[in-house]
Amino acid sequence: MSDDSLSQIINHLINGTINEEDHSELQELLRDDPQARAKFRERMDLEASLHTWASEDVLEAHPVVNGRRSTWALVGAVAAIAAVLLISFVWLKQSQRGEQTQIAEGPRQGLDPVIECGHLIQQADCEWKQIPPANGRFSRGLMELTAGVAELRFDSGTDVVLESPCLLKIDSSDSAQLLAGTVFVDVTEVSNGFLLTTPEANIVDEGTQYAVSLNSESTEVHVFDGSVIWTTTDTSSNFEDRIISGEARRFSRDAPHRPHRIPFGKRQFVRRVEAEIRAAAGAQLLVYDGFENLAGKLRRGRSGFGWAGGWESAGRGHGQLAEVIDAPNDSVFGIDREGHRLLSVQDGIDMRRKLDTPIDVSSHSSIFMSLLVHRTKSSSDGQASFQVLLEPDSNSPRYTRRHSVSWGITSKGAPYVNNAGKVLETAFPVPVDQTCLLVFRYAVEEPNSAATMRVYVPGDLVDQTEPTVWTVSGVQSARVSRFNSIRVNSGKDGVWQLDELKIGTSWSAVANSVAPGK
Amino acid sequence: MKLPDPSDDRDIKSADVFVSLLMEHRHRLFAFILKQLVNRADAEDVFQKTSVILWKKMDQFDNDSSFFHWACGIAHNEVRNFLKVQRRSKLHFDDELTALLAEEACEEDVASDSRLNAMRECLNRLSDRQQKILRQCYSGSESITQVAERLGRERTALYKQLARLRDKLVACIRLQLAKEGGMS
Repeated sequence: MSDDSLSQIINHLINGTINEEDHSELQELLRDDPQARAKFRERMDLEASLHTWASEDVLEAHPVVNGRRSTWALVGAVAAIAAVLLISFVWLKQSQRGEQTQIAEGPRQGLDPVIECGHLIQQADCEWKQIPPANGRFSRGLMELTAGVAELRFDSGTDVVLESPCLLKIDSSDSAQLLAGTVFVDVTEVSNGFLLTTPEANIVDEGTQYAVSLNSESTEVHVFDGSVIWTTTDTSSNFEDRIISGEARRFSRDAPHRPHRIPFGKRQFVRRVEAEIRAAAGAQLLVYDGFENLAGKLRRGRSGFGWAGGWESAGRGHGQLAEVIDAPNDSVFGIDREGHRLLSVQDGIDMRRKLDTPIDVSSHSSIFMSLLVHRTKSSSDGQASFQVLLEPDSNSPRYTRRHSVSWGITSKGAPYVNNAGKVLETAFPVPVDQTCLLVFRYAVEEPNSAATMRVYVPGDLVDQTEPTVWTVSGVQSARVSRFNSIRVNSGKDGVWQLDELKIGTSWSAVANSVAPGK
Repeated sequence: MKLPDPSDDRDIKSADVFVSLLMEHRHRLFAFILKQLVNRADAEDVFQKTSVILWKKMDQFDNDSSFFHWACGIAHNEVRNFLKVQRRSKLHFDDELTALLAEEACEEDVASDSRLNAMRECLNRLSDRQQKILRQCYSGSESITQVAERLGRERTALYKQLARLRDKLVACIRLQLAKEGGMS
């Protein structure tokens, strides 16, 4: 590998845009080549030096903030020591008095301890009343989210998603107190457990995913996976209630030892939405993604069903994917999107998600795919196209490229289909700044296939059965045997919003709406 | 760990010594961790944890030996612990390569500091605008994408500019160190 190539691949590594293949190649090279390692260490020294220099620069520009210096250097060195000293001091006081001592909350004064508990993942639209943590980390203390959705990835291995408005007090890397609002807790397989408390109760997980919603009158617990044990904080009561997967309880805050069974998922938790869609569409709906990624993390592979994992970059990069944002509070084609999320695609993003089970085309007469697509005004200039590809099951990039079936909208707004290289587009553009429903059909007509698409604009009534008239119809090519991944990309100037991606074996499975919010 | 007693002068002196040592070695220790983890946020996390453990184990430190080399051993253990939990969510080097990089990086304490000093000289040769871009990309927790958005620039363009600036700095640092008769 040349110096330039090595430098380039190290840049991708530093930027976080390296793909798995290049990462493996770099790792092998570094393992075998001392000179490459020397160059790598030289580059990392530059990174460390820039980091040190920039931090010192901040220190000079803002020497003291709230009585303490706010740089990594002091946080890293002095505050860490101060933390140890203060913890020791508090521990000593506790020992001496034989009672619990609470460390002060709110803005830190002087050299209060900074006990970091994990990483914060938040959307750009998040708003905090309590001062949000710095450097992507959060520490002990109160966090109040007033807008948006954020995820706390505790160092202990538990992920907690906060839906605004939410007031949470972080106690440690494996415990927190919910004081108001809704959280979704995922105690991952590497975690040793997590303790969530409310003013009236302790909720102990037993390897689980659950959601808790707390308001002034009651607390609701919905368990999606595993089980949780609810105990009251009132030590005079020995009440204990185990809530298992698929169950939900409401506890009045006046009487936390009296559980009330409530319908599971009565609250609109993400998993409930997906379950409703699956139930409404039945077995003919094979794949779904509503992009209900609460913390906007497409790679986690949690949204939807029918997928083998999360969305990944389809190009060289390993970095930024499309962004998950709040959907508008509207109703489109019978789908109430209040409180939902959608996918914002721009900057020439190219990403892929593998299917859990490849779709065997030969066993179905047609494959249908639908998507809500919103084309913004800025998409009308430059390279602003949008494309969805169904990629065949093949290890050959060349075969995949040549036999992919795609559909989308050109930079000028014209819907089109491309059946393994044979393209047909319509002259009528989709309207800008409006959400349209696109339904694509891949029909098997042995030994060939035909790709067609129907576009519905706002105000259109969506056909309840497969229509006879298509917006773009009938481009034929040789049949592909199986599809194993979906790829979505946009031109570098395109700005698109996508929602409710569905793949099924019948028209009704993908085109008939459900209104999960109602 | 022995609990510090604020009324005990020896404990205060011990803390002073520790702070002094950590501040003196913080850059090279951060560089040591970064060479194994690459990601700056990850390296910061491990650096902080390492700092606390170093303090806890300070009574085991032999004053006649090298603080940096002692700290390297503890920091490398923290890197390994970090990777055990984090490996599933990100691309990281495997244990074998991480250990190899740690072994070699532990011998580069002087080199890291020399490169930092040389870089300071080299930064003076960049324009204010170039320095400002570097500062914005390296001083906070923002991703390059977020910095690009704030500056109203294309993310890919910013990546390219950063790559050019890094290449320029590496070349300048080599030259600077060669002039000083140091390593390159």
